[in-house]
Amino acid sequence: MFRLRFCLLVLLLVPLTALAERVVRWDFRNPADVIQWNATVTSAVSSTADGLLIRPVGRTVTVFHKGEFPHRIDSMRFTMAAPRGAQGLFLWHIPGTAENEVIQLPFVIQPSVTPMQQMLPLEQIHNWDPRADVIGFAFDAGTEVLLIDVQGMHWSFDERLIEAWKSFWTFDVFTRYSVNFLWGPVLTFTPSARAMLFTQLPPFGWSFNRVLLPFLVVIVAATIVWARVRRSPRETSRAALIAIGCITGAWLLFDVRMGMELLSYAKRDFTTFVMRPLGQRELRYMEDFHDVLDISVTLVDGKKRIGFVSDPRYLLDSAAAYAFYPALVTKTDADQSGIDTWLVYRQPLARVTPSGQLMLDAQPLSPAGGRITQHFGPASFLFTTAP
Amino acid sequence: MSIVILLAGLAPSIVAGWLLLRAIEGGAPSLLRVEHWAMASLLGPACAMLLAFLANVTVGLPLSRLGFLSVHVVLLGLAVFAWNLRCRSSVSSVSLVSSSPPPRWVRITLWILAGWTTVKILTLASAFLFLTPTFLDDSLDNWNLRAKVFQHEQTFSLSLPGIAMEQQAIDVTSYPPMVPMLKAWLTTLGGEWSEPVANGVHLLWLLTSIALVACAVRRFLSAPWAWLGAYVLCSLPLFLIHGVNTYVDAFLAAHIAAAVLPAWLALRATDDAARGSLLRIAAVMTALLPFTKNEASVLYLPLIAVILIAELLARTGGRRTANALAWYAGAAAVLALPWLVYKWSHGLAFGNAKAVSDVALAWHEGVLQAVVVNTFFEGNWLILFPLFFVLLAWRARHLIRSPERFPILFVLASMAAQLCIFLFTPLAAEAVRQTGLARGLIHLTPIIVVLLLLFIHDTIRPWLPVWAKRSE
Repeated sequence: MFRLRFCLLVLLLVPLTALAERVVRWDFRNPADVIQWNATVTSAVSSTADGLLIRPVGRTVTVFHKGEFPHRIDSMRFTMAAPRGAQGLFLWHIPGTAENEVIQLPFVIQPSVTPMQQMLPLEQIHNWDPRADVIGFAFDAGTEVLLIDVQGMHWSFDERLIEAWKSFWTFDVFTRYSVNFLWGPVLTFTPSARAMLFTQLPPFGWSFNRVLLPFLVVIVAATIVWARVRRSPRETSRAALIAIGCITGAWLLFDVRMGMELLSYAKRDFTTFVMRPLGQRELRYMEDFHDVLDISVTLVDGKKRIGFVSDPRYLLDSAAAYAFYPALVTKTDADQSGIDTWLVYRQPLARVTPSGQLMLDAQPLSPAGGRITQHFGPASFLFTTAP
Repeated sequence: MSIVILLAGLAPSIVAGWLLLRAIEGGAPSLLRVEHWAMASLLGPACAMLLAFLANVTVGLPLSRLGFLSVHVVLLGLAVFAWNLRCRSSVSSVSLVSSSPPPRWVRITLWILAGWTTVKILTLASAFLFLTPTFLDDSLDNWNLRAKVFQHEQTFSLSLPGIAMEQQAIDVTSYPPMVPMLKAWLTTLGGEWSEPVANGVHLLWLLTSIALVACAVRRFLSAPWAWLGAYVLCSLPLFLIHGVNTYVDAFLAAHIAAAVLPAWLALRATDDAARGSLLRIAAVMTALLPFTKNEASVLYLPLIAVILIAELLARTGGRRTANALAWYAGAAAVLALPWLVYKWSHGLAFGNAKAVSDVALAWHEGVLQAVVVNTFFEGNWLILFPLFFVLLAWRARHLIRSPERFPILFVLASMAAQLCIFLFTPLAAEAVRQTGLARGLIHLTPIIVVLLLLFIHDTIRPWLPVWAKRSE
């Protein structure tokens, strides 16, 4: 009997597998797809063997597709090339609204002569409507973009469940805020959203607790109701044990999930820092800064003051002050007199003049006659005026 | 080598702490063996650093290797003297809950959980404390940097790189120096500044918290529950992260547990000698709180004092309360007053990087939402707080007159006070940005875990097998 029920269950679930990811695609190397799109300024758009070349002159150009789509669109993926980079707008129109009422989503294409694929996780956008009946792109005058293909994707219910399960096991990294709070499992429902999980903050998706806590409340409430209705000690015990089991199972699952995330922090530290030789180590979001510090500290031993030149967005002053102590670290906005050694870290505005003077943009930091004693990486070096 | 230096540096003060506790217990030993060592791990180093601080600021004893060693020698001498003076009996007054041994599948499950917990602690502690440099802001700006200054200057100092002299009274330099001084001692012993040595000491406080929780649960329930308590504490992600990183909130959590748990046990005690012994221990551990972190002085110490006095008056009567208060007052005079007098005489603030008196009160938007999200909808606490509050409400009628009222009131009052601070003061920014919101909960976590285990046991007792029930 059990085998029959199991087989029936499997057969009932089989049709679900037919509803997998669906993609509507326009390949702009195929003339049959190109004609499905329109342009507001046709002279700025030309169909080539490599795709649709868009070169607005004098005014903004919009290319758009109007009409019913074979399915709802949850996410967009497009392939473009822009040698000088470009900023564009993704546009859509919601059915039932005024014809000229379109919603815009800005995006950036990095400079590249080779095609680059970009994802727009539209399900994260508050006013995205999967039933949009017009979609398009707009580019300003002076842009040059080769549009190669556009894909609109839709995922079925079981696909979304699978994505939610995968996103449950997608971990954050150990960073500045990890000692204050941990996001925990965040459920997303499409591959594009999962790919971007924890890359933007707060992470887009459902906190796992939003699903877990109501589930546990329902279980406990059902237990209480069952006990009151049945009034049988045996039934009450059974219901209570189920509830206890569910709560225990939830705790253990959550612990394993969070434990594995914490262990992933350690694993990353082992592989990027502990196991690498000096000069190749990277520590979390500070990347190679600790390597630079470790090398610099040995080179400036005995100095009383060190100048520190860094992009203030990196917030590295505290780490530098700590590493160099007892030498006192002086920032660029303080008096630099008496300093003969500077650590410059990832500050592209810092340069050494031909006369050997360290400059931060137009501000002189050191007298002339200095030299770089150690190179570290892009815009990072140790500079000294000491003999 | 770092482990050797840590052990060598901590051993003398821990032994002194053990002797002092034994002396405080007097003729009524009231601590479990593991509990005794855990408390000694807190008391000994704290007393050593307090002594070193006093010697440095009064007679100018340098915080050199010789200076620290001499402090430890004096402390050990005092401890031995006190132990000889007081200790007369070794008859323990500790009685543990008896129960039948659990079935094999329970033992295997507990071993698996213990193994999982051990893997987490060892891996994370190795990575964050021993094998990578100091990383977190408060360690770089405060705890470790001050330790470096003390170690280099060989004296206690209010000056810190990057802090102007006029800021010293209210900035991190106004914080109690116990942790930085302990790090300075350990690295001085090793001969030079060492990150693994300075940071490795944090593991001690995590292990101490685990031991205190397990022992407290063991007193109320059977051994499997004690193991479960240790597991539950370490399964809390944010507490574990703090336990294996260089912030001092887990350190304060251990000290608060060491202050509150003995007092709670004293309120439950039926034997006068045991009650007295536990209250004396609680008095000493409570008196150390001002020397740990600023919030211990302005928040936890007053709450413990007020609630405990009320409970003692309600349960034990005036004379016994007076005895207990005398011990608290005496311990405070010896252990708390010196640092508090120093703070007052140097105009040091009691707030968290901001003077308490400078705080303007006003309602701040977004705090309640941040509190709810941080407590219930992130990965910080698993499902600890929903369980805790639901079971607390479920069992409120039974708990209202029980000795558990003391720790419950302490926890709830602490949470309420923290919530008010975030709602009505400029510290609201710390709540909304979640930069300081959960710290207060970390301080209370060991006590909350002990309470939770009790609540769970008492709630599901009708369905528990015999080996899992505590005998009535």
